[in-house]
Amino acid sequence: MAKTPRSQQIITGFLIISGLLAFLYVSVSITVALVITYRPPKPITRTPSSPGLVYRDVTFLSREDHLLLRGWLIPGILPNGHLTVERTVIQVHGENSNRAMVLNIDAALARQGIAVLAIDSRGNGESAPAPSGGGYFEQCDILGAVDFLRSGSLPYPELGRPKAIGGWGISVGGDALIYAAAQEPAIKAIVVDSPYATLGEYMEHAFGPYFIFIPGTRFTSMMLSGIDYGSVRPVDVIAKIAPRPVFLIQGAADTDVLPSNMVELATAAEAAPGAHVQTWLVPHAHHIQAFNLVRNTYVDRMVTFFKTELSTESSTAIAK
Amino acid sequence: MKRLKSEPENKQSNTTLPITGTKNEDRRSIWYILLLSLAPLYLLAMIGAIVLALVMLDRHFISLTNFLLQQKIFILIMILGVISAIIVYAISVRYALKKIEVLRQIGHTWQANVGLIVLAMVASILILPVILALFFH
Repeated sequence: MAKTPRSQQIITGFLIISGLLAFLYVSVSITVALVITYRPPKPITRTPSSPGLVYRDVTFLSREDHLLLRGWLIPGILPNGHLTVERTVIQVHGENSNRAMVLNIDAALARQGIAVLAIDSRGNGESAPAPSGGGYFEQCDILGAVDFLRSGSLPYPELGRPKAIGGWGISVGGDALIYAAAQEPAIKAIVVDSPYATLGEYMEHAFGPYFIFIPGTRFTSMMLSGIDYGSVRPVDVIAKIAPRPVFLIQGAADTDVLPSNMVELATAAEAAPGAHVQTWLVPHAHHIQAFNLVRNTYVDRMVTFFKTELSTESSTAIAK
Repeated sequence: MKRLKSEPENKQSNTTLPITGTKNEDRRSIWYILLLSLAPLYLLAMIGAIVLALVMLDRHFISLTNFLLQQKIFILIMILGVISAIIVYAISVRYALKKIEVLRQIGHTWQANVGLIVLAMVASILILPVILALFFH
């Protein structure tokens, strides 16, 4: 019997190695895509009553895809002790978090007379499970919150409806807010803390040396949730917010979302005629840590921004 | 034991299959060897297409409001798809290599070589997306 030639041995080895690598690639890509797309929600362990606030639980539907979302409506407290929702800020948390993420800041805003609608975005907290869209799908949640404030059944009917709606988004919540504000003029002003400019570049940075798995992960995520993460580019839509004001906050020591993202977003936003863009690079602050590092300044700047830009005197009543 | 058993079979093959066939027989054998060597590739493509179709059906028939069920079915489809792809690939490659070995033993060396070249191409195509991912990500 003839011995198996060397060429056949080499090709057999090649077939085994390429098969193993290909299946390993596919398996890792599927696993990463599943983790990125949906993670079990973190339970809510605190409520606004912890920092001594009055609030009501609210439920509403996301715009377009009608997912059931939950949140808290925390009325602002006026100096005379009365409650108000005239200026209401929709607060959108970051990835794999929930509406209790920045309760202390919500409390500070409420005590300055600014009402907060803190929402659990889809797939998080107590809202309906749904795939993460890196901010793209989540814009429907914010738009649903706007619809709720404008025409939903509010839990404090005696306070009327908000006269000016603002938004405060953190990390991916900031990206969702950019998308939402770009198409919804009822959102009068936004503060976004540490959003990325493009999800594609963020993924490249986040994957680091494992960048080879990005195409496989993107493809699998697209199969699962119907979105190509590479096409999520808030930088392309931020200019549409003008002339409404945008306040960009970024930690200078952020290694997750690099400070260059803020520069990119600010440059794009300022390109629009009549743009009104503020930026604040917080020294030594890591990703979404600015509000912990310089809490008082953070609150002061946000309150000043919202009180100026959500002026109820200049705003026309939006409850129609 | 196996080698001893396979020897008479090979001898029998030698008697029934001419070493140098006619042009028609050569043509038939080349199609046969192409079909055989490309089997790992087109079988994987078929599994991939089935997996894609099932995922599309999953997303079409189960609404987003029932995402957890949608995701569970997706995971099941993916696991079954990967496992069946591994099994099909292993079996088809092994079968093709065996047949190539037999062809070589009965003297159809050039058909065996064509089979090997095609298998090398199959391995290259399989690894190509991984290599491309290095440059386009």
